[in-house]
Amino acid sequence: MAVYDQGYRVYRGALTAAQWRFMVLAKYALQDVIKSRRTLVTLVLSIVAPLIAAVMIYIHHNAEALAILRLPIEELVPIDGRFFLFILKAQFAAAFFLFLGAGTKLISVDLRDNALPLYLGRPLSQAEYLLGKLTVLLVLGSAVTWVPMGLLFGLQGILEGFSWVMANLRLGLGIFAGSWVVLLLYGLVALAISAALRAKAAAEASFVGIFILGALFGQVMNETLDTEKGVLFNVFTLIDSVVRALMGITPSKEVGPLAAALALGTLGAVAVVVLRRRVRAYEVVE
Amino acid sequence: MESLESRSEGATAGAEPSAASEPGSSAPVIELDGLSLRFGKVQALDQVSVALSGRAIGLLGPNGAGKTSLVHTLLGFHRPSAGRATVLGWDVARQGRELKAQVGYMPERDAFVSEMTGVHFVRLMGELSGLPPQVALERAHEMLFYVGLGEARYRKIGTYSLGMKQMAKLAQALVHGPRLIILDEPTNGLDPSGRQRMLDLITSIRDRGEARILISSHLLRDVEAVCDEVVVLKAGRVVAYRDLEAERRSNRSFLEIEVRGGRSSFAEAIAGLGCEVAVHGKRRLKVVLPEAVSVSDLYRIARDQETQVRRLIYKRDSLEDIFLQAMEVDHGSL
Repeated sequence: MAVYDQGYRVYRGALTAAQWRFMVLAKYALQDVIKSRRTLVTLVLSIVAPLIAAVMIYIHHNAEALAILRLPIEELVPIDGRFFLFILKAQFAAAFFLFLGAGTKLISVDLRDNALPLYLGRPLSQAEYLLGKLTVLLVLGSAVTWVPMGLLFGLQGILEGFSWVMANLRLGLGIFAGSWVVLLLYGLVALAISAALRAKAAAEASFVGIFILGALFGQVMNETLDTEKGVLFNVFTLIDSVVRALMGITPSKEVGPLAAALALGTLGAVAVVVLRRRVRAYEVVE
Repeated sequence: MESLESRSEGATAGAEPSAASEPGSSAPVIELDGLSLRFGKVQALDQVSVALSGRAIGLLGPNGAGKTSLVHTLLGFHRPSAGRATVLGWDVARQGRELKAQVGYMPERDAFVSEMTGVHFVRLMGELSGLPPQVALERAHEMLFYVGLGEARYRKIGTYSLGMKQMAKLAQALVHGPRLIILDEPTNGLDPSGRQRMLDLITSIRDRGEARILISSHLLRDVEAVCDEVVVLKAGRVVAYRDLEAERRSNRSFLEIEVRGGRSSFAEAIAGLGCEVAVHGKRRLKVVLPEAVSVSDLYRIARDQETQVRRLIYKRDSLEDIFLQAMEVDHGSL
């Protein structure tokens, strides 16, 4: 129908595949998120650590560069599991700030504008709506975690040889799996906060609070109650323990990987419950 | 992701829409069979049974009558606690996905994405309903022109006036070309010209005959202007149902009579002739004459009973009358 033919007509053409419909939501949300200057700045800054790491890996394998810089190879930081863990943690920090800015508003904008009945009144389930929103964060988070880390791992593998790759396969898989653990956790918590709090400032403060104030609370709990259980409130320590176990490097002394995984799983489950309760097509008057 | 599939949404084997989804069909578009909905101790819908097949169906009732609960149930937002509801042949509890692909919904409250332009917003809604991106864009432009927002389609919706937001909500409900359009209080907050524009659009969709319309409203005049079938809800139950179109077409004679003296006995006597009689106020009666009875028969009975007929006019029930009568019914059901 041309624009001038102003009449209503039923659509009888082909439809897109239903199982990928959530990607429409992800596409539009991603377009919106990357318009933000703050997101772009965070993405640019997130390249710094991998770039430095890439240079370090390159220097390690370039005798000419070492000679020019007059650096004895034994004085360089070794390219091993701890090196990759250090860079990965820097990338987790980048993902944290990315999710802080982008994730905490993804659902609240729809709640503020009462758009949920429009989304859920279409052939789109609550789970698909959440998956669409989460996909935005997973795409952005992947771009700053396992993708650059995978490139670094590949660079080291190319320069060191295939035998190094095979010998460190668990390290590579641990980087990948650990990244997904963190991205899913950060993503679910960011979305849950976004669904629970409509004011952006309050949502961002809560996101910081769960991760940073949680750690402080755990510290105070340890000091005052003379216990070590407070570490279960320190999400960063819990993540460290799980990621170390996945990468197969020296385990954390503060908390075991199983306890850490359970605590992180509990946090993720709470986030899912909040999302299930808050993301509805109608408001519930209690 | 861009791969296209056949028109039928979802993969329910053997599930096909009913004939009601086809233009010009007289098959029921909405069928409710003992539908009940309960929220804790609150019975929102109580054994609602009705079959609706009008081109434009009005859903009336006072606040808290269950209109929005019914609309939400038809959209699959609530799972019925008992009974069954089908829309266009789809079971709302089991085939919600297929159903929602065929339905356009305009909620009562403001609902949009304020940071998006009109065309971006309507296109998004089209794509979410399964339209390919290019088709969604084309139809978004068409629908925005159709509802009168052509010139404002590149403005952010947050900058729209209340009336423009209502029209944007209508555009998003139409963009995917649904076969049933559910409008919840479509004229809410509109000025007289905006209200008329909205009613004209609804009428034009109705008259084109490609889609059915369900209007939930408390504005009787709006419903009367565009609907050909009306259901009145009260306390979660259907207390009145009228096929306005059939009544408009029928030859039944509606009389309003004002009498003095012996009203009750007069009413009983004319009811004995086969008339339908409703007592209205202290002196008035509303009477429907069967074909075999004429007005002179009424005058004769009045003379015999020494009842004064002070006024007698031909008048069919307005929707307001139907509504007020329905509100007097306690726990009525059809």
